[in-house]
Amino acid sequence: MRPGLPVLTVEGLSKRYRRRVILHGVSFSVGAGEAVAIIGPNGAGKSTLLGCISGERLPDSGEIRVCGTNPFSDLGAAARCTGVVAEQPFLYGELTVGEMLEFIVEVRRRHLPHVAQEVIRLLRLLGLEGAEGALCRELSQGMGRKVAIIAGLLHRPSLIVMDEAFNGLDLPSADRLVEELAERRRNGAAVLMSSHDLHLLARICGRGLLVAGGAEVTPLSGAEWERWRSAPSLGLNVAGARGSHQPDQQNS
Amino acid sequence: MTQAASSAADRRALLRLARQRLRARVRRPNAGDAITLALPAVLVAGALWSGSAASVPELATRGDAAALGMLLAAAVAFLSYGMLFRAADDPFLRRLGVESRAVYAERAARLLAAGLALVVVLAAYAARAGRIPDQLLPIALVAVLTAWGSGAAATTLAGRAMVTRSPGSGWGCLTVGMWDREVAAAAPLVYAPLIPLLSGGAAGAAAFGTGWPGVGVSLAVALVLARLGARWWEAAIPRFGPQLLEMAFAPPPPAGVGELSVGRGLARLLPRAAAAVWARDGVVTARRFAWATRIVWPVAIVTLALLARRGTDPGTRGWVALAALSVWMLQMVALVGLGRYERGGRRWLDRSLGITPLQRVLGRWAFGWGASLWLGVPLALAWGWWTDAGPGWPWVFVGAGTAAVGAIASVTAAGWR
Repeated sequence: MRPGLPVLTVEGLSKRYRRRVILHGVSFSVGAGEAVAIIGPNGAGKSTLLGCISGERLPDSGEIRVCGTNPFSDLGAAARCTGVVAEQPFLYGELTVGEMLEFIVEVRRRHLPHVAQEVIRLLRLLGLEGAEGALCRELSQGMGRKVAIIAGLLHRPSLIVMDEAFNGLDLPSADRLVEELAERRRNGAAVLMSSHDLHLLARICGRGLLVAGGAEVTPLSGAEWERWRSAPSLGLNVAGARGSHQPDQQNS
Repeated sequence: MTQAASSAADRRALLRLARQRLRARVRRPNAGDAITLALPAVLVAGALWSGSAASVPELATRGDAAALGMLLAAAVAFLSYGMLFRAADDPFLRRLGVESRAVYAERAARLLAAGLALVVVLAAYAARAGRIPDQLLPIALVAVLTAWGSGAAATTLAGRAMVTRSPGSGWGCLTVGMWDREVAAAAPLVYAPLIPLLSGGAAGAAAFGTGWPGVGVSLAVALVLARLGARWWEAAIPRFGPQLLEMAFAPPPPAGVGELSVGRGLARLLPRAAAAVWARDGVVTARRFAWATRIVWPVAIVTLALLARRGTDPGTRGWVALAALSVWMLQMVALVGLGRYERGGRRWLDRSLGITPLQRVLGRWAFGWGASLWLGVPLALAWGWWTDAGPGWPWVFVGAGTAAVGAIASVTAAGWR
């Protein structure tokens, strides 16, 4: 995908859970090669927003287009284009890491013949070599997350959606993953990520979206982002957002 | 690659995965596997061991065939929704881009395999008892195949109706008599199992005297229905999968309802930690497994009415006993579900608070027994008053027994350490 072309377009997205409005009229786009941070306090709707984009949450209204396709009507095309690392990774507990990845490779292979080699590279990158025989249910939180990251990245998606994907990763692995994401961006992939590790977001992302609660999502202007990026733990006041927002400093 | 070829490749991958998972669970079982795999195996082995010719269905009349058909169809109807729609890996498979038709085909195949396994068990039971009625296998197969096809289609149609309903619209006459708002909201799914149940019974009756040709006809009909289900599932799944996740979202209870209070009433008799487990389990179960308490009322009311009117009839008493045991079995399932819910790490809260496994079992058993008493006490009183089959108080202890089995299974599922 050429740099700058939108990989993801969200128009007028609204979502409510029963009577509680979580997102209302959210619009933004993410271009190829961009990395966008989703920031906001707990319960503001960050995961809901990412869930709608990855096709796991059904929006009440609005349109989402991933690589030009609707993730709800053309699941296959959207899944080929998107790599999702969910906040709660799903693993088949009774399978080994090797068996789990084998299944994913089996499903992805039809579209990408070299996906098996990519798995080996990613296993090495995240320090999971030799863990192929371990049962998924016996993995530590960090190792389980690494498996989920490999599952999300191995098909070289154009849009990488990461919801708290760095939680539980050891520092060397996190560093190598940051490098990997930078490399992917240089090759045209877009990254959309949410985390409470504000320094990590500041390091990876070039702009931000503030999910401030009250159903509003506010794009941060370049100046606001740069100001926040230089001191991400100081809090944030954004004109237009309902009330002021103090970013959650947990894990930062 | 065409969509059909892609779907076939996905189906093969999913079937391989299902085989791999089953093999892994047998080779490296954990406590949960022991309950879900070994318990049915033990029950089947026990039934085969104790089988007697007298308990093999007679199949002398069309009514007998209908009864057998409904009995087998009930199991398929009960499994339909869970197998087709309640898998935990839905979002994961969705993210992988697995074709929805392939997912449907794999799940429908599993449902069919479960139904056919019932027929095999029935045949083995009859063989062990030394008497296989001529029509047993054709009638059983016709009932299971019909229930499978109609169950897959009806459940999927109901699921599609759930997600394509326009906001704010109701279900009309389907909700008559449903006083619970959440049950009324899912009315099509509530009624969907009736279709395989009744069609299985009707097919059993129709198969009476037709022999093996009837099996061929029912197979053809079932395949057509299952294919219809595939078409509806395809239409529903892009929205239905996500919707399911949201149905699992537990809304906050109304103020003042179900608040946790420890050591009130009979809980004072328990050690403080066990009483806390009792209170906590009560609140969690009431919110996550509300059906386990809701099922009591209709059964209790019907039981009282039946015993009051026909308590001296052995058939009525048999039905009442079966209904009560079914309710307690379902409550036991809820207790085991609670344990499985805790397996994800929540049990460590108990551990860090210093609550011992024995206290967990005690508290959970006390809660389970307490829940069973809502049916056990009226049943015991009605049994004592209106039947001539001895005192009713043993029923209270039957409830205690099922609760004890459920509590032990639950803590086993969660992990003892």
